[in-house]
Amino acid sequence: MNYLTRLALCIVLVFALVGGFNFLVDPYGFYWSPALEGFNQQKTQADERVREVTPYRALALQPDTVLIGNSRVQLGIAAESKVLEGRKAYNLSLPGAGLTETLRHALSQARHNHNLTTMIIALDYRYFLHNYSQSPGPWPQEELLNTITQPPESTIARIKRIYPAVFSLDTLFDSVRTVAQQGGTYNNITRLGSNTGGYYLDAIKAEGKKRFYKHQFDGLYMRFGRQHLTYEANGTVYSTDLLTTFLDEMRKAHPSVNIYFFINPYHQSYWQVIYRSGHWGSYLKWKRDLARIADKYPEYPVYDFSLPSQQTLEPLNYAQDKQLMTWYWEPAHYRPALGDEVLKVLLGQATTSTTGNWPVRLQAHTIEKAIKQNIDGLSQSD
Amino acid sequence: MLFNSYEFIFAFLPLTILLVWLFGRYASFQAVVCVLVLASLFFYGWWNPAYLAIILVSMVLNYQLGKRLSKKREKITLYIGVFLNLLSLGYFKYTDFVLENVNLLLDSPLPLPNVVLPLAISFFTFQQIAYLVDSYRGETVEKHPLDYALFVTFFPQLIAGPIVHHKEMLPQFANGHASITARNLGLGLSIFAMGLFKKAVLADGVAGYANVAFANVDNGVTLDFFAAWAGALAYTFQLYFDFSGYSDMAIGLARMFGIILPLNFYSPYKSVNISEFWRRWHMTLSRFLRDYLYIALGGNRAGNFNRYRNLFLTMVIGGIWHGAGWNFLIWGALHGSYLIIFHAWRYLFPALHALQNAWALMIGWGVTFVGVVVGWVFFRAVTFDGAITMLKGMFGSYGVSIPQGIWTRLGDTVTGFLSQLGMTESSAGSSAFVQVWVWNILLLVVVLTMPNTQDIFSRVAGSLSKLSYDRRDTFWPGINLVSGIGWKANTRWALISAILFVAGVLTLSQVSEFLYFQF
Repeated sequence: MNYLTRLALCIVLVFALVGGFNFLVDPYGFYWSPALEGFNQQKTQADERVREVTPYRALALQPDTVLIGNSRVQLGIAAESKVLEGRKAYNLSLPGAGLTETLRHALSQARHNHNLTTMIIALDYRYFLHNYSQSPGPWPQEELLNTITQPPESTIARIKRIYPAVFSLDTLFDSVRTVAQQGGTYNNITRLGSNTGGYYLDAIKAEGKKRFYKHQFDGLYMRFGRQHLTYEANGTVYSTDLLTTFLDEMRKAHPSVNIYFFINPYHQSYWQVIYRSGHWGSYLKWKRDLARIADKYPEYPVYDFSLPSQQTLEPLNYAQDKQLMTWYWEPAHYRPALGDEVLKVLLGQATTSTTGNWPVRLQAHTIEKAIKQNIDGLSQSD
Repeated sequence: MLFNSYEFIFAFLPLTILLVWLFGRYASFQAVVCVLVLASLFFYGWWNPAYLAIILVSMVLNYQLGKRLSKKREKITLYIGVFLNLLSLGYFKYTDFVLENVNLLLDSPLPLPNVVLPLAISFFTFQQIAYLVDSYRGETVEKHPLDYALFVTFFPQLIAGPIVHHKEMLPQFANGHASITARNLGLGLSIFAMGLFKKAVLADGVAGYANVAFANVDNGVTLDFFAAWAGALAYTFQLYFDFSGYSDMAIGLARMFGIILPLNFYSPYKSVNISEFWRRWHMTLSRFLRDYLYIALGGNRAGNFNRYRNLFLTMVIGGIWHGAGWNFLIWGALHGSYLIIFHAWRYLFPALHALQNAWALMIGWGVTFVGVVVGWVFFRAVTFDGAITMLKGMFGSYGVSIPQGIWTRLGDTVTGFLSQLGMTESSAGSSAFVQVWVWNILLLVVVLTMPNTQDIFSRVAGSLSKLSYDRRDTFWPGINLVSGIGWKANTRWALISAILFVAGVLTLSQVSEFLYFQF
């Protein structure tokens, strides 16, 4: 056998071995191969391709209940929660997802998921803000409606998407890392799309809460403090139009889908960040605007969990520096225990009579009560 | 079409090989040359078909001028030829730069034409100037137009070199070297695999860190000591593996067609002095600048002062050749100054210069390497201020800090000590910090201790160079451990080459760009 033949055979062999290994480990959590404990069960590298894999999985699984939001929901609500028992739920939340991305995925689910009955969508004040000095705003309402009307993925497009997840050097490194990190405290995207938050366990254990939270607060202040970041532009609010466009479409084309909106249960220290960054007034206006929208679309309730409660007022407790908070990973992200409380209320397994005044369903006749609670809560917060 | 792309590796290359093989077997050798010229023009036109007109006009004009110079050695024809080549290069490459600077002096600025630089113009212009000069000197004889066309357009070296010389290429085309054989394919593919790995895995792997660091300083962000050095070193290695990887791929590709190209890189980062560095970095450009510029300026024929002046001018022009910008000029001037200092040192302290013990070599290497890295800062930074900010960071002007995540894991004793040294903790990401330094240290070990592609393939004449494990004026720790490594047509090397090739191919879905394409 001459050298060229041997070289060609070796190329085929190495290519097949790499592809086979990547397929078997499946580091990004496509779940096309068995998840074996101690080998590839924890998808510690799934964060790398979460934008690609999560929507794909959501469409492939055709769940009846979908959780949609940003990293707060990804880390804060477990699709595996007992509260969701009896449902086929999936967490379609993506870190950093803004309003457009969130609604686009929601609409995509409504159009292409035939099992869909319920959508639980988190609303985040941060994603209604924009730097209007540079552009009119990322609120392309037509684009929202048109983009997701594109036909389902073709076979070639599917191959193009899947190929790099198997035949890629990055994937090989991620496969090796996945195998090496089994059993460790790393972020892990579960089969149902939720994030187990291992990173926080590791960071707090290593750095302590005080130091780690300081780092988190610095990041929050930096994000909220960005110049020209506003809710309104020249007295006009643009971002909420995108939400009403979405609701009009849902009401018209998918009336059988139940949608529950909720404002994430921000921790008291997060209220302080909003306040100290000069956004408090806009924040309250945002809530009033949401209440107005909720009145216009009464079939789609909006719950405000960002109000004072036993959970949201949990002390940071720096005295216990290496001990995790009960309800929060850190000030900006809540834990699944709190996510369960949110789910219970939304799905009717608990009422405000059993949870105190928390949450408030935002409507014209409740909004001022909620605003007062906000203001009182701010004065109680650290 | 990039060498590291699906369309090149899985469509253009196999099809060209097949056509050359078919025409070589069933038609004449001239038909093979014709196929290679057409394939090369297709390859060139892939980016922008409009560029084809420029290279075709340049080729026809220079061929005719060369033909005339071979018959009649007229100085005026030579001057016209060189002038026209430089005019076209000057127009496409420097018009906007000149106007931008002129506008600084004018109250009402002139409009910028925004001339688009045609791909490879710097390379094929230099090749053809050399051809004209040698035609005038009587060192060439008239060639078949197709052979000349292939000399200019041969796709492996067309876009970013090596800058080939007609003396080493035209005889190969004329003598029927270009042929497809299993041996040439196997050998060429092995060399190509090594280049692909260097470019796609190593250079592209470290590129992200360099890009972030230089984008920061160009936007006015300051970097502390470690971040600045990490960025500068990342670019140092990116540029080397990018360009030498491209050159290896070019050499391998040419070899698949039975053509042997000149060597372009020979472990420059092992050099213990700046003169040796330039003997090993972009060797075909250095050769051109030496033969057609430095010597034309007078070389070292008229005393030390004129020698230093000529060196300096050559390096400044070499700097400007790389790009229209003040930073390239500064980079060239810096290297010109380095060379003058080196020659002065050698002249003034011959005994110290002659020291060859390990310490002397290591110190020489360290000084040379730092000097080269400092030079690359000007070469890479888009703005002058960006380069200065980076250098100030490298000299510790913006402090020395370690990311918080690492700092806290070091423990109180170590951090207390580090604090006494003036170090602080920063909010930078610790995983990025670790990754960039792992990359930099790993690549430093590779460039210092590993044999290069030429060493590995020297037994089978990988390039036109005879160099093999040459340790003259180098710092090469562990050379005895690796000096026996050499390619052989056996299963072991087939497997190694396959691993390198597959690793390179597995990166094709990622974004990539060759740095030297912009020059």
